[in-house]
Formats: sequence, C-alpha cells, structure tokens
Amino acid sequence: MARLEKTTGRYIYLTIDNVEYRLYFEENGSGIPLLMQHTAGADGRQWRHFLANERLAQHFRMIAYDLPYHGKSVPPTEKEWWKEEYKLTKDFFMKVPVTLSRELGLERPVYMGSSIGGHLATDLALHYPNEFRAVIGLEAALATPGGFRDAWYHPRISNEFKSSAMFGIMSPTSPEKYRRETCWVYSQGAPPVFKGDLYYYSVDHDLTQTAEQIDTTKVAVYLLTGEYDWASPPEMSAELARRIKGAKYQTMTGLGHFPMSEDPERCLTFVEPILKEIRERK
Amino acid sequence: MSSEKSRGLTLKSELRNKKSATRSAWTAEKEGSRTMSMTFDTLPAAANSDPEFRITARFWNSTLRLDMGDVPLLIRIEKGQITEVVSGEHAFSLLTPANIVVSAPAGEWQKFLERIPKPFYVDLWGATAYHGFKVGGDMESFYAYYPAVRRLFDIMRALTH
Repeated sequence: MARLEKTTGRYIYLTIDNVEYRLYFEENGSGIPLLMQHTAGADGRQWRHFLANERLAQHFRMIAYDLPYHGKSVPPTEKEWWKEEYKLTKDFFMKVPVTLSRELGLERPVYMGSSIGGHLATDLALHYPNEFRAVIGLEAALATPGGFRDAWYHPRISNEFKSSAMFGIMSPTSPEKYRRETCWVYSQGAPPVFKGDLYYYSVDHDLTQTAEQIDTTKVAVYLLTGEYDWASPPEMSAELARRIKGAKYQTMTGLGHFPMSEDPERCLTFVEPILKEIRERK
Repeated sequence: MSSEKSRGLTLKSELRNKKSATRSAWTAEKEGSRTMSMTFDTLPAAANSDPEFRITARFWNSTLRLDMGDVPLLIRIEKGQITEVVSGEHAFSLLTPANIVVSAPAGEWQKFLERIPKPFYVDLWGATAYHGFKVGGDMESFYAYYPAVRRLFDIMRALTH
C-alpha cells in the first residue's frame, strides 16, 4: 500500500472587491486554525512539510492557500487581467486571508507567513487586530525597499534566473534536497508574478511610521528571521520587534529566507514553542 | 554571437602568447593571520564533468573574469565547456576582453569561497548588497547563465582549501 498523506486540497470561491476568485487551499489537522501564507512568486507547496507534520496536526487545523494568480489559484475569469501588469497591493493582500477566514468560519485563527507573508503578519496585526489571535511573521521587517525591479519581469530574463537567485538567501547548511525543491517551486511562478508581489514587499508595505500602533494586547506578534536572509536581515526584524510593544523576536540560526521549506525540521524548532505558547494562552 | 566569437579568438591569441607567464593558482594573503590557497588547475575538469554545470552551461560561449583584488582570474567557456583558466596579475593585460566581470577585494573573495560561507556570502546577490562585490559586462548573458555561474562558484568552493 502506497503512503497516503493526510493533507487534502480543495477550492473555495472568494469575492474580494466585487471580483470572484477561485482559491486553492490545502489543509490538515484539527484544533486552532492556522493560516499559512507563502512567499512572493511561490505557492502553498512551501508549507507541505508543516501540513504533513503529525505533531502540529494534533493541535492545529493548518490551512495553506495559494494567493490568486499563484499555484492552482488561477486568475479570475471575470476580469481582463491580461490588460494590466500584475501587482499585489497591501489592501488586496490583507483581504485574502481575512476573507478566507470569514468564509471558512474560522474562529480568530493564527496567521503565519514568510517574506511577503511575514510582512503581512504585521500589516494584519495593525489593520485587522480582531480577526486573529496571533500572527507569526517569518522574515518580516518595517520596510524592504529596492526589490521592485524590472529584472524580475523582463522578456529577456528567464524564470530559471529567478529560481537560481533564491539559492543565495537560503542557508548553505539547509538540506540540499529541500533548497532545490524551494527553487523548483520558484521556477514555476507565472512570469509577472514575482515582480508584482515585490510591489507589496518593497513599495506598499511600510510600517516605518505606524509600527508602534500595533496593539499586542489584541493580537500577539511573534517574529522569526533566518540568519542567512540578506533580503530581510535579522537586524531589520529585530528593529521591527523593538518598535512593537510586546512583540517577541528570535533569530533562526542556520536558516534563511525560506525557513519552512528549506529546512522544515529546523524551522519547527523555532516555531513549535511559539505555537505551544499560543495554545496554552487559549 | 559573431562578436563574442571574435573576442574569444582574440583572447585565445593573447593567452597563447602569454602562456609561459600563466598559471591558474593563486594565493591570497589576507590581512591578519589567515592564508587561503586556491588552485584552479583542476577547475576545467571539475566543471566539465559536473552534471549540473554541464546542464546549466549548455550553449554558453563566454569569457568570465573574476577580479580578486588586484589578481584577475580568466575563465573561458566554449560551447558550455571551460576550455581555459588563467590567473596571475601578469597573465594578461587590462585590455583583455571579458563578457562578464565580477570583482571584489581579495579578502572578500576568500570569505565568499569558504566551503560553508558566512551570512550574505552565499551568492553574488548578497555579496553585492553587503560585501563590496561588483558585477559588470554583458548582463543579459549573466542573467541567462547565472545558474551556471552559481554552480561554478560551488565547484570553486570545493577546490578551495
């Protein structure tokens, strides 16, 4: 009998700003809902190791979704999306997990995301503090300007380049098989998507004037950043944590920008104590 | 393609004339106590037999120049194979053409080529952002063959001791 994972995938139709999106998500486990957001230009496959983890599944209903235009969440059929360059805005990005949570009837889920997803953790904490009991931001920062570049979407620069460039923000000590898998997922993003996502990462996300307004008595804020992440280095995440009263920060040694996919077991050594704390706070 | 070929022939001629002066070994005396010796005599054989390099370098014709402080290292690639590696400050003139040039102080290269690089020395993107590396030349070719360049650095790391 072949091995069969417990993770299952489904589609849900979400209406955001009067446009219907067919959103793909995978889930496993039961208990506290835990929404998991992938990085720019990628998809929910980055969370497959977490989804399959039996320890997590005992206490959490894990849900990893593909943002619209990513993975199996194809562009909306009722919009002529091909007439404009794809661009992810903060407002739309925040509405995806919020709408998904409401439509699934989740009760104040935990939100966890990496890179753009890490940034989003803090934006959600600022703008939707009552929707989530806690946010976990991996590789988050106050702001990360400079990444919204034409090279990420250029007719003469391939997706293979984007994929290969991701090697350098992972830890050289992470298992090669998982670093390769992370890059493989990157190579499959639709050509405009990575650059479009970086609009949020480098332009629309900016907490330099507002980080202090995040109220951790309403929503707990945890920040973790890999020591090899040069895109959003540990010092930047530590600075973000300093600006949010009550936020907790830790550097993840031996990890980089994609902790959950480049070395899931090592990443869990940092994430599981946080999830335990959230569980006990329940 | 024709101009690239032309540059390659010019280079070949120059290198042939300077053959007696060249050798592909370089020792970096870093400020302080550490000394690293890099011997790249075996780089062509190592790269040309490396499965990943062979795939990523397919159809590649180029001359890659790595300026390690004052010491240049010239790597010539023809049809996806490294055909020549030359180093040494007197090996060729400043006018020797190269398609892609990567430069950094010698001490930074030393850190870059450590087998387990420290943070932000893992690849050229972190190294250019934080450690004084510069990349120039034919950037379209660089982007196209970055997977091969990246793999080449991994192979060089394995040869560094």
